[in-house]
Amino acid sequence: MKEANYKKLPQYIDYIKEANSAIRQSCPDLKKEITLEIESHIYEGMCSEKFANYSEEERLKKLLSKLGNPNKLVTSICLERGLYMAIKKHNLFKVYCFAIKNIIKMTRYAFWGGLYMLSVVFVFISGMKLFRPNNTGLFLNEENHYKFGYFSSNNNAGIEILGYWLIPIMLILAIILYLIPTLAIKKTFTH
Amino acid sequence: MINNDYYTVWDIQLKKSMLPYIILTILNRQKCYGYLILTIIEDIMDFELTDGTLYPLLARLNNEELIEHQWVIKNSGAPRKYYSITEKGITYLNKIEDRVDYITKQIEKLK
Repeated sequence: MKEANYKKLPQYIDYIKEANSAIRQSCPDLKKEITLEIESHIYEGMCSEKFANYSEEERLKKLLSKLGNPNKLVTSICLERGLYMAIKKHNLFKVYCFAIKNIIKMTRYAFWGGLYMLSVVFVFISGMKLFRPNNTGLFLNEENHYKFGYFSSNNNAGIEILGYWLIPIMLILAIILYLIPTLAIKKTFTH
Repeated sequence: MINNDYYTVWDIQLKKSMLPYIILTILNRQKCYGYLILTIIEDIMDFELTDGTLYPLLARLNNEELIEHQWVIKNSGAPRKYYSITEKGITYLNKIEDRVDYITKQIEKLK
């Protein structure tokens, strides 16, 4: 196996470069070990008979795509190793850092939940526009302040700007706000 | 009615949860390096592993001291990181096997 050949390919160089950059950020003390394991994996794959019918470039492309995003791969390994080492060495600062990272992950779910709720609110507003058109909409009052939503009384609400255009706008926004978290959650669970 | 999406998600979750069991079973038979483990899983189990699922899991099993590793320098090419199962790993594997057997039997009773 002429290993030097595939190592000169731009995909290989970029992959290793990106992996090294992620290692520097997440766990520089494990740089040698992780890089060596990734290089070893690629080498074994390039030697494998499984891809014998493909060109070197195609083989590398398949291997790297199966190995996955280098940043994600390295971050996951570092997270596993880093948290373990932090707990083992009683390094409270690192344990806190990992806890914060996980809280951020949870915040993502809360954010998606918020988008779902907002989409329900938009559907509700478009429905209310049908039944209470004078009390629902985007209002501009005399003090040039905007008010949006459903109001039980429209005495001080101001002039309604959107009219019945509010309904399609709200429905389109509701669909978008439904699709964003749905696709994001789907992506999370299928990878 | 169970839709296809639900089945796909369930299948992926099942495979993810079975992976440690599968890896320990493979390593119980022979020492393996990462690429070989991946090949065995894909060929025999018909699993498609993506996004670097394997290596973070190997790191976790290593942390839990269920497996250990050793670098082997070859005469040519890149060195190999061989993983092998530990005593603790064998005990854990036996426990999982018992549990899987038990669940399978109980489901059979339900049929």
